[in-house]
Amino acid sequence: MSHIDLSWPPLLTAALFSAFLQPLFLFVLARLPGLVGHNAAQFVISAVLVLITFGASVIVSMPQPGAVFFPQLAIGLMALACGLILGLQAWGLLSRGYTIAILLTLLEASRPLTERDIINRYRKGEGLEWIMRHRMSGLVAAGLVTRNENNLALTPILGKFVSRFTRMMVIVLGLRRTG
Amino acid sequence: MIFQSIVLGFAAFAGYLLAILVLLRAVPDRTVRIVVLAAIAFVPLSITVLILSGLRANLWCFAVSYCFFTLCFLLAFGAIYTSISLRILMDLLRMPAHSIAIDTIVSDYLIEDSFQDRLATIQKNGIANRVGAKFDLTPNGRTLVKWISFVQRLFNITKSG
Repeated sequence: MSHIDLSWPPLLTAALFSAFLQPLFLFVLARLPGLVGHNAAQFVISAVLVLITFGASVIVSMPQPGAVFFPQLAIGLMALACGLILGLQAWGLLSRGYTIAILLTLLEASRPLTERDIINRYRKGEGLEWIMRHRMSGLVAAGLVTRNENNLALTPILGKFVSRFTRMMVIVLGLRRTG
Repeated sequence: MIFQSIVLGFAAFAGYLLAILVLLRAVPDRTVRIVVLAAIAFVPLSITVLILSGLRANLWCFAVSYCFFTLCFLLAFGAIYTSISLRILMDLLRMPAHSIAIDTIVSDYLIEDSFQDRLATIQKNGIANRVGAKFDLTPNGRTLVKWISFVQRLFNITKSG
């Protein structure tokens, strides 16, 4: 096993330390008056703070100017990205999870619910249609679809490109169903 | 050494990708389980291959590189597999003039398809039961959802969905 090097890369500690601070940043940001309820903004700001912390850790831990070379920095950034991706997945599930919202509806009811009850009580009474309004407004804001009265249409360039790319990925992955 | 470890980590990821492309076609009913379990199984497997191959590498850099590429893939995979928004876009592509009535999306996809899929998933995983026409959380499901609710309160997330 002598060909396997077990030495700990110096910037890995800085990356892990910075990534572990993200929940703390989110805990504080979620309570700031202007950011309450804005879960996406909270995550983006926390990710920026994590990057700043990592940058500061790199500068502080650098023994001499120019001592940090690119491959080490790349490993540090990759480790940091791993932490941010895991954080994004967890944050996305907690703040945007469709299934989680159904489960919370059942928990809050404290009694068995019919399908219609779940649909009506979804998201504390906003109803299941809320999710469609929310996703559609997101697609419109991203320039992927346009909305004309009661119709939704793909935008000719961006919308068609993203939908064709997604369809291609579904075929490549061999998925039978999505969404 | 670090650069070589990054390349070997990417090679391990490429092996994982190839394996799931085959597995997803062979066992199409267990999509998520296959993708996640294969990602975990490839960690010890690729380290064993690395040791046996005699190639020089830093173990931690190799692991970070593999995890990075795999997590990027899982992020994209999760978006494609579960996203309602991407599903709407793909369905629009199939429609004449790439246009569809919003009412159709709500009734056909959201209520009939996506919602039923979620209800089936939570039953299959033992989180909720269906008794007659009604759904209720199982004891294990209730404990799990209480934990989720606790974490949401911790981070001041008032609503999800």
